[in-house]
Amino acid sequence: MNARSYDHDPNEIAEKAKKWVASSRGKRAMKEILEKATSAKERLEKDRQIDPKSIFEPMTF
Amino acid sequence: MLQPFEVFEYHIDKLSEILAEKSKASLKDINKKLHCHYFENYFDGIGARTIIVENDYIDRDFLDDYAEYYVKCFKRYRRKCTRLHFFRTSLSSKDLDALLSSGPDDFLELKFQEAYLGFIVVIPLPRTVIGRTCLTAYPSDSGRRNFPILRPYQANLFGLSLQINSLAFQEQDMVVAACATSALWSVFHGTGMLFQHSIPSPVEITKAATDNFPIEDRAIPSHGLNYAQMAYVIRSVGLEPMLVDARDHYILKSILYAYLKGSIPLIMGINLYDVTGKRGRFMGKHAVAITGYSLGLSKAKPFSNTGFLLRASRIDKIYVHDDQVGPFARMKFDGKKVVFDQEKETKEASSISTSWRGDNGNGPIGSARAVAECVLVPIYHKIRITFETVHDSVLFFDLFFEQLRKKGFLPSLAQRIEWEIYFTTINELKKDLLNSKILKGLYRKNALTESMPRFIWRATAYTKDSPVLDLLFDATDIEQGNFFLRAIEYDPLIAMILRIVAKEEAVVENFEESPAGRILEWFKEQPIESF
Repeated sequence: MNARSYDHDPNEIAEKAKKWVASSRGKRAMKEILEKATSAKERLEKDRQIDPKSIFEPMTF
Repeated sequence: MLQPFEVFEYHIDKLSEILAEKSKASLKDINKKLHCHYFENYFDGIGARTIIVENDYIDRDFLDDYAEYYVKCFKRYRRKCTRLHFFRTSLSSKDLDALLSSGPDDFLELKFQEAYLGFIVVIPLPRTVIGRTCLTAYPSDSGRRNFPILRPYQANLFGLSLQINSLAFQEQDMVVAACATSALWSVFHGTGMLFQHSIPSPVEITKAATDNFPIEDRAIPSHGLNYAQMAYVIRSVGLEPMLVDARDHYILKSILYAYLKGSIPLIMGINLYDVTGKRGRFMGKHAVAITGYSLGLSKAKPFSNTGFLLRASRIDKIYVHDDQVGPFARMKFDGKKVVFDQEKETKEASSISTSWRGDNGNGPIGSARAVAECVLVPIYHKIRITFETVHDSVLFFDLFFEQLRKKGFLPSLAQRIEWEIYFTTINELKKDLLNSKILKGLYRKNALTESMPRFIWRATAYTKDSPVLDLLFDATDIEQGNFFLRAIEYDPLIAMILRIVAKEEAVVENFEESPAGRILEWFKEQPIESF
């Protein structure tokens, strides 16, 4: 990785991030993320399913 | 006696005349073809100035078709073809004569080579006259147009070596080949180079497709193939067919981007609708080979309520080898829907523009629209992890990443990151990393020297076209395995935050069973470097 300069103290940000994920608000946010992603994944899985009727219909054009 | 060559100034009327004369088709039939309308715009667009006609040309693919079918007809069909070469500068018979008669002339040779735009083989059949065609693709327009599947084709004109980057195209002859045959044939020209398999001729494709379906229809004349038959043909060249429903444009764009960028062309099955009336009228099913895309939208379109930004969603057009239209024919995602009746119900579907005519071929160009149905991807048998698996893993990871960004823990990111997910090879990946100006030192060296599989799925996160993170997945692994290889971290602060939070028990508990679990586990295992 390349060394970059930041306006913020990286260690301070890291400490805040660590506290947030361990907090009840952070845990709730992660649960919501998982719910949202799971619902999007399920929708995609449904939409990706092939209509079996179409497999044997010839392309005549 | 027939001259070995003729030279003409390019004009669409001249091209139509040559096509009619050399194939012995009627000029009326030639002018009715969508190809002529397409070629008019296409050759204007690429700046064609000269046509050199090579009068006596033997084409391997037509010869196979000829030996299998046409030679056995009562009527005597010719077996020799004509090849038309196109150039972007004005050339005359004198130029070619000088090259052929007056000894070596490097300057003149270079003049021909630099101006070369490709060739069309004219086959001597009554109506379907466009044989193997290798023409240059449209210019990239500052990276907007992308044709990652192009490969070099050599043409030898009386000893003059000419080369063009293209993907072979041809019109179906409606006897030994239907639209799906032509689409498969074009796709195999791409995969043949990438995965090193032999490229079957159209008649070989039709036979492979029908061998296992003896009661579906007669093999020759061919009346069209279905997806199952196309899948058999793909297996016959040693590849694995993967069929995905593509009615949803997010799915269609994401999958075509993922494979095309990895140089794998795909086949798209479409339903054509005549839209000259109030309701769309079903015309029939058709197959095209997808050969390129245009990233014409400036911003990615968020995916549903997740807000996930995929670069593929910026696609506004695709380029297809449509055997009834031409090579690199444009199809536009213009947001229009088609309303049609099906099984006594009124239905509505997202559609794509075409260059087809509705109203039984009498409507204006574009009066037929396409509704995508499925895409068929021919992949190497060792590629076991699908795009869908990788997409879903990245989607889960992105939502967590975005939460960290929104909370202000990733201050270098002012806006949400955009993901590019695509198939690649170890060689392409390492070439890219070697050219990276961001990666430095031991980290760079380790990434470049690390042993990796031949086929890789790569998900790159961008902020304003600058990479933030690469997630690399082993495409040859199995889904139960840990197919996440590693990340390439371009931003040390982001790397540090991810490595720190991934070690927290709450993150492990929530995500370890999710599709992003393997990615976060990798970050968890990485040491935390001090600043």
